[in-house]
Amino acid sequence: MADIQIKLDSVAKSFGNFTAVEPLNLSVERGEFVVLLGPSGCGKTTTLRMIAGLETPTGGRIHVAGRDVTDLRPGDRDIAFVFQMFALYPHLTAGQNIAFPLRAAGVSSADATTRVHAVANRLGITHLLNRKPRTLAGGDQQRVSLARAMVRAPQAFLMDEPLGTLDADQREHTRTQLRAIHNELAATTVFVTHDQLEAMSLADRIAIMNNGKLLQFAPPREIYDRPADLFVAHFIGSPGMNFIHCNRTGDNAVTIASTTLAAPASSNGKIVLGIRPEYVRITPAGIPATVEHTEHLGSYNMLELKLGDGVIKARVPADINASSGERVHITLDDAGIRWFDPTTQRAI
Amino acid sequence: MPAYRIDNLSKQFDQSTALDGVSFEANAGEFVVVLGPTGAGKTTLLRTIAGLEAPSAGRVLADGQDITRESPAARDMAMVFQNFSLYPRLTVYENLAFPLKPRWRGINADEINRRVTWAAELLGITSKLQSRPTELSGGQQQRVAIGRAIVREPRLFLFDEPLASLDAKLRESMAIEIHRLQRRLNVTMLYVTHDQIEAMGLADRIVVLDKGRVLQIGTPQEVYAKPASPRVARMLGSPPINLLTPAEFSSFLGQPPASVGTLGIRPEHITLRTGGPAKVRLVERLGAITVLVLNYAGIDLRVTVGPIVDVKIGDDFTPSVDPGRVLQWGGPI
Repeated sequence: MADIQIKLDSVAKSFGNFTAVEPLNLSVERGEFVVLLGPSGCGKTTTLRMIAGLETPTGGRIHVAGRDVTDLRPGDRDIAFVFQMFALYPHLTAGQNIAFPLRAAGVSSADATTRVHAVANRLGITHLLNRKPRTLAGGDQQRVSLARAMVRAPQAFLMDEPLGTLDADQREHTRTQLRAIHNELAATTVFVTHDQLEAMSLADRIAIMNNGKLLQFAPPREIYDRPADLFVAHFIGSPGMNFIHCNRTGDNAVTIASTTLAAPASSNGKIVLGIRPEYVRITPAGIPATVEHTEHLGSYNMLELKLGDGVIKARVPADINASSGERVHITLDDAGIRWFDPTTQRAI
Repeated sequence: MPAYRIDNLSKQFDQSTALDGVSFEANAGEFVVVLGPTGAGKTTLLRTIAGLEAPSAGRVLADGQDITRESPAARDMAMVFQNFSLYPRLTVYENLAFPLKPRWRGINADEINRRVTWAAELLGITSKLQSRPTELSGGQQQRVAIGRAIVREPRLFLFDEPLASLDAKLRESMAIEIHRLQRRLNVTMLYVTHDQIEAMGLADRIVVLDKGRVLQIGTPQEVYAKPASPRVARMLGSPPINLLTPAEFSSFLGQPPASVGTLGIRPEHITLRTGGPAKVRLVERLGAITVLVLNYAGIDLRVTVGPIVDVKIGDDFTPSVDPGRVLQWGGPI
C-alpha cells in the first residue's frame, strides 16, 4: 500500500449556518502533488487552512505522516505554508533568506549554515548564496524561495495560489519550473488554485470541489477524459466540455439535428451528450450546423456552431476558416463522446 | 472617418515616460484590444483617452474632432474598471440609473427606466435589480458595471482589465459575453489587458504596447503569424514561442534559414521522430494539447503535440521544422 502523508478523515467546517466544507475524505501520498481546484467559495482554501492549522475543523480528524495533528498549533505540525513564491527579503542575501526560518526557530548559526548549504546544493543554487534577490533572475529567485521553505525539511508543503500575483506569461514559466522542481524533489505538496490549466499542468491528482463538496479526485488525464459530473466536465478545459441536450427516439438511440446516434439508457429518458471541442470535426458530410463566429487563437481556431437549438464549440486547425453564417457539416468523434444524466448531473 | 484617433500621444510622469508617441485609430464598431505587460502604459493610455489624465503631447480625436482639452464628461465615453466601483448602498437599479441622473444630461425618468430595463435584460440581471452589490457574485457585479456603461450609449467604451479580478473560469465566460454584447450592439470598444488569450479571442485588431511604445498593430492572426519582433512573438502564444540563435537552431534542427539574428519557431510547428539527440525534460498534459519540453546540449525546445501521447520524461526524439514556418528577425533575442 502506498505511503499516506496527509489524511483527511471526514473533515468538515461550518461558519454558523454556512457549511464551507462538507465531510471530506482525502488521502495524499508521500511525494505526491495534489491540487485543490474549484471556483471562489468552493471550500478549497478553507480545506488548505485546516490542514495548516489556521482554521479549526468543526468535525473530523487530520493526520500528517501518521500523526493526528487536528489539535496541534500550526507551528507544531511540521508543515511549510508557502504564500507567495517571490516574497524574499530584499535586504538579505539569498543565503540569509534561506536561513531565516531556522534562525527564527533558534537554530545555531553553524547548524543553519550546514543546512542552508545542503538544500542549496540540492537545488543547484550554491553559487548564488551571497547575492541579493534583486540581482537574481526570476527562476533563481523562485529556487531561493523554495529553498527557504524546504530548509526546515517539513512533512508537506501547502501553497495557496502562489502564482496568482504574476503576469500571465510569467505564470506559465513559473508553473513549468515548479513542476520541474517537484519532479526532482518529490516533496509532498497540496496546492490551491481556481485555474484549471494550472491544475492540469501541476497535479499528480486533482481534487475538484464545488459548494463545499469534493466532486472528483483523480489524475488530470482522467478528470479531463472521464469527468464524474456536468460541473467537472464544464469546469475543466478551456472552454469546457460542450453539452448537447438530446431528443430520445428509443431506449438506445437519440437524435441530434435529425441525425440518429446510439445512446445508453438514463433514469427518466433525459440524456445529455458531452463532447470536448477538439472532438468536434468539420467534415464533408455529417450533422448540419451553422457557423456563428470564429475566434483566431493563433495555433488553432475556435468555431462557435449553432447545432439545433444549442451552440457548441469546435477546436479546429488554424488553416480551417469559416465565415459567420456559413453552413457546415460536423462529425462528433466517438472517442470523445460522454453521456450524462441531467437529473442526477452524473456521468452515465 | 475613423471613430477615434490617437495621434502621437505622450505622457511624462516626473522622471518616467508612461506613453511615448502612441498613435492608432479605429473605425466605428471596431473592437481594439491593447495588449501589454504590467507597466506597459495601458491604463495611462485609457485614462488619457477618457480625459482623466492630460497628455504631455499629442492629441485625441473623436469623429474627427480634437477633444484633447475637453472634460471627461463632455467626451461621451464610458469606462469599465477592474474593481467594478459600484455604489454599495444603492440597489442594482439605482447603480444603473446613476450615470443618467445628472440634470445636464436632460434624460427624463421614462427614458431612464427604459434604458435601465433594457440593459438589465441584455445582461441577464433583471432579477437582481432590487439587490445591493454586496449580495451579488463577482460576475454579476461586473455585469452591473458594464450595464452602467451601456445605459449611457456612449460613442466609445473603454475597458480597463475588466476581468482581471475574476476567477479563471468566470473570466472566460465573461469575455464571451462582452464579445457577444459588442457584436450585438455594434459599439466601438477599446479594451486593455495583459492576457494574450483574452486579446486574441476578443480583438478585431490588437495594439501591442510595451514600455509606452506601440510595437505592432494588426489582426490577431497577423500579429501571431508575423510578429514584428522577438518581443512581440513572445507576448503571443501559449505555450510561448521558441526563440533561438542560428547556432542553437543548427544544433538540433539542421541548417538554419539565416546565419545572424533571431529565429522563432512556434511549438505547434515542430514535428518529432522517435529516437535521436533531444531528451524530454518535462511533459505538461493540458487536456486538448500536451506540451513537451525537449532538451539538447542545454537548449530547451517547447513542442506541442496531441492530447493522447505516450511520452515520458527521458524519452529521445529528433525534432524538425518546415523551413517555411521559421520566423526570422535581424536583431538579438
